[in-house]
Amino acid sequence: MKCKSCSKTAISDKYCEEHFIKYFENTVKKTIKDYNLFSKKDKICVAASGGKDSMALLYLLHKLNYDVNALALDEGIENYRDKSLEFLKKFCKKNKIKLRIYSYKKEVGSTVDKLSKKYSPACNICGTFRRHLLDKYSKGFDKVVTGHNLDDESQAVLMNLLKAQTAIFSRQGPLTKKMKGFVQKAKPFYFLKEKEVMIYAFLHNLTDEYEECPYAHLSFRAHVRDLLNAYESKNPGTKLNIVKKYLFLKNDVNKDEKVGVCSVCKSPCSGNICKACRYKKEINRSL
Amino acid sequence: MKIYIERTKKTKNIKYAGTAKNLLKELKINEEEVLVVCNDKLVSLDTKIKDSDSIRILSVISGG
Repeated sequence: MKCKSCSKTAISDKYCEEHFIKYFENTVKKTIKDYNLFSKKDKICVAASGGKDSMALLYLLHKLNYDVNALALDEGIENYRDKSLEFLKKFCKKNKIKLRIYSYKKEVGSTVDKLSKKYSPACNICGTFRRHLLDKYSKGFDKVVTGHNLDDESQAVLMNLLKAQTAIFSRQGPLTKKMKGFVQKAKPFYFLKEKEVMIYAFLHNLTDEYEECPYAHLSFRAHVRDLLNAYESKNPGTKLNIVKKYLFLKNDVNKDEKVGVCSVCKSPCSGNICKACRYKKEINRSL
Repeated sequence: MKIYIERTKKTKNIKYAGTAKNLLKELKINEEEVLVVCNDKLVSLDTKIKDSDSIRILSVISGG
């Protein structure tokens, strides 16, 4: 198959290597501009893991001369996170990007490997602390930028619908809304498929040996992902349609949603005590 | 044909000639979830591959 923009051989479903990179970078630039995600004046905290999404994000924002710092979390998952963090450390050192790493062991008092014995699937408690620590250690930055892609976001819309979680439904999108106590989160890969991010990462040698989180297959997300991928391969464009329709409907859902403050850590939350502090209390009791 | 499947970290030896798309069908792998690398070059799914080619099937899905 030929590239849609020149006579070279295509490497994706539309473009050759050169035009794919142009398409990818232009899509990111357009998302940043259209949704006013951040500017060159902003101090940006990139949530990084060493995986392809955050590596591609760090690489591209650094290339485009944004003021980026990287923040990573070590959940304590043996033979998984330790390997990807080494890859991330090397990249940040080479590109002179400041990297901070916080561990669940120190911050939470336990590792996900240990917590998984009590909390199953481990993804729920792992995700709660990930969001909590990301909020805690991004204070002082103008924006937190994550590598969430079209697959992640269309899965999230579907997951929230299946669980009828309308409160969370209104908090998604390329840029989360402003809330006291939260640094806004921006997603420049919002309209790019996971496969496209992987192609970009592959073309720039930003991928390390593949390792799968040992707990990932237990998650609700993995189930929704498989369903959505099966549907997308038969009906291309489904993922994009889901997020487009979501963005159209978003503003009509939970317009008056009120967010309180956790009485323990002062983070924004919907009840009196946030989920992370409730988990911490349980963990401390069992230690 | 030698095929390395990254997700399972296993190598398969099969007889095959045809498109990358049909190879994935034969292996029961969803095309949304992988990239096909033929002789160290990324290829589109309509690329015709020969039995003498060396294939790597890279996983697209995030590990976590």
